[in-house]
Parts: sequence; C-alpha cells; structure tokens
Amino acid sequence: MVIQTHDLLELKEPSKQLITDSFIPDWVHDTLEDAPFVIVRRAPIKNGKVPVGVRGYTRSERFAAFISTDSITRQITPEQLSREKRWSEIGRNIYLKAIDSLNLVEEVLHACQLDWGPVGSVGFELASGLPAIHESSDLDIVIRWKEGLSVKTAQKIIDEFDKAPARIDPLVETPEGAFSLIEYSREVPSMMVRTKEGPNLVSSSFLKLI
Amino acid sequence: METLTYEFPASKTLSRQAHVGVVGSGDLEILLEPSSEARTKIIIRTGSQGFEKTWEAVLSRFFTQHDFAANIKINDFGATPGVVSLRLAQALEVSQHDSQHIKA
Repeated sequence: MVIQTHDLLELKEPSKQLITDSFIPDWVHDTLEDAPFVIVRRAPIKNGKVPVGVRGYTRSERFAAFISTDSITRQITPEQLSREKRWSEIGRNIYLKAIDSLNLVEEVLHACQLDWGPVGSVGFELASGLPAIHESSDLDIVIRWKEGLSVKTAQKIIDEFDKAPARIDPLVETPEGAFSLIEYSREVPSMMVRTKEGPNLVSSSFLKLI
Repeated sequence: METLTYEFPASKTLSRQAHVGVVGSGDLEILLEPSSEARTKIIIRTGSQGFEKTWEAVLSRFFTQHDFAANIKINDFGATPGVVSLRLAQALEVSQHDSQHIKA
C-alpha cells in the first residue's frame, strides 16, 4: 500500500488508534466518532507509523498523531474523489462556491492531462460525508507533477481558475515535495517547496532534477 | 481575522520592495517596503487566533539575525513557523537583489 500526503484513511475504532505523547482533547474523539477519517500529514514515517492529522469542527482544531497501517480499513486518494466526481452527489441546501468550482477545475486540468484531486475541507467532506465545507471555503486541490508542465501552462491554468466562483489553491505534488502552482506561474527566481522534512527555498532549476 | 503588530529596531536599509508568497492554505503573503526609519514594523493579518507568542518568537529570532529597516505586511493563512521564516528570508533576498522578478 502506497500512502501519500493528503490521503484520507478510514480507521477501525479510530479513537484507540492514535499514537501520540500528547493529551488527546475531547473534540478529537467526538469528530472521529462522527467520521472515522484521518488525513496523512507531510511528515516522515516514524518506526513504520504513518503521520496523520485529525480535523476538527473549527480551523484551530487540528490534532497530529501517528497510526499503524494495521488500523486502516480504507484509503481514499484525492484522485479517487475527482475521478468518481463525487461532488455531484453532495446534498447540501446552501450554496457552496467551493463545490461549484469543481467542474471548472476538472475541465481545465483534464484538458492539460493532469491528475488532480480535492483536498482540505472539500476532500474531507467528499470522502467522509461529514459537512466540513463552509460558504466561504476555498477549494484546495493537489495536482500530480508531470514532466513538461511548463510555466506557460501554469499561467494558463491560473487564468482559468480565476474564473471560478471560489478561490482555488493548487498545490503541485512531486516525488521531492510540493509547491504552489501560483508561485510557479510567476516565474520567480526561487520558490517554496514543502518536503517531509520541512519547507525549502529552491531555484526553479529544481524541477529539472525530478 | 486578527491583526497583530510588532516592531524591532533596525539600522540597515534595503533597496527594493518585495512581494513573495501566495494566498493559500498553510502559506502566507509578504509585502515588504524599505523604510528610512531605524526600525522594522510588521503588521500581520491572520485567520488563526491565539498564536501571538509563536509569532513573536519567530519574528524576534528572524530580526535578531537579520538587521534591516522595513514596513512589512503579512497576510497569513495558517503558515507554520518554518514557512514564516522561509518566506521572510525569501522577501529579504528579493529586496536585496534583482527587481525584475517582483510581481504584484
């Protein structure tokens, strides 16, 4: 099983599976009872344990822990959520601009032959069914890096994304780390790459090394 | 949204303005303007509340190591201390060098 950052993992008896030295707040148990999903964090695997995060009801409620792979009953990747176009089934009676932006993103990235998927609150709600998206939520997505994704293509994608009702936050995932498609499209001399060991500032020649 | 303000003494001047970072989850945007006053003033707008002590620690560490006078605006979207320091270093790098890559 290949487990990557952003993957959503469904756990059996989730409250019992969290490996941590910290005190586990009550909201962690409460949310896990509502939706037994954790999100894979961008951190190194420690003693064979997977770094995960628990998402709470508010922005400040985030809890980091580790889990053993034995406790995983289901793995959902961001790509799975976009492939299955799960957003067509979402039954919420308020207008969510983040959801309304998904078809545009799918069209634009499909045309560029790029694999992608929703993450953040949208990914979480699509996978778990638990309401996580707010009216003001942005749409966070990951795009898998493909050789030949030029700055020019990035600029075209960003221009198209600007037409969406929600603000789109596209993160490009490479085997060496992740960077913002927006920053890449600006053709800056250096950009930030998030790795499992932390963020780095790299020159644009970084991409030639992947 | 919470606004935090910090000030540090400074002596060295910068030549150019800088705009680095992006509006995105776990990231931040920095707008840096050189200042002729002997201090650096930082105004932070953040959606994550209750991190005043963390901001103070990250900023004082950075400005103890780097002496420059500027007015800095930060729009934070839940960046970690590591990301904050890195973006500040990037802003400093841009404001000390080539101006042609700076885009608003």
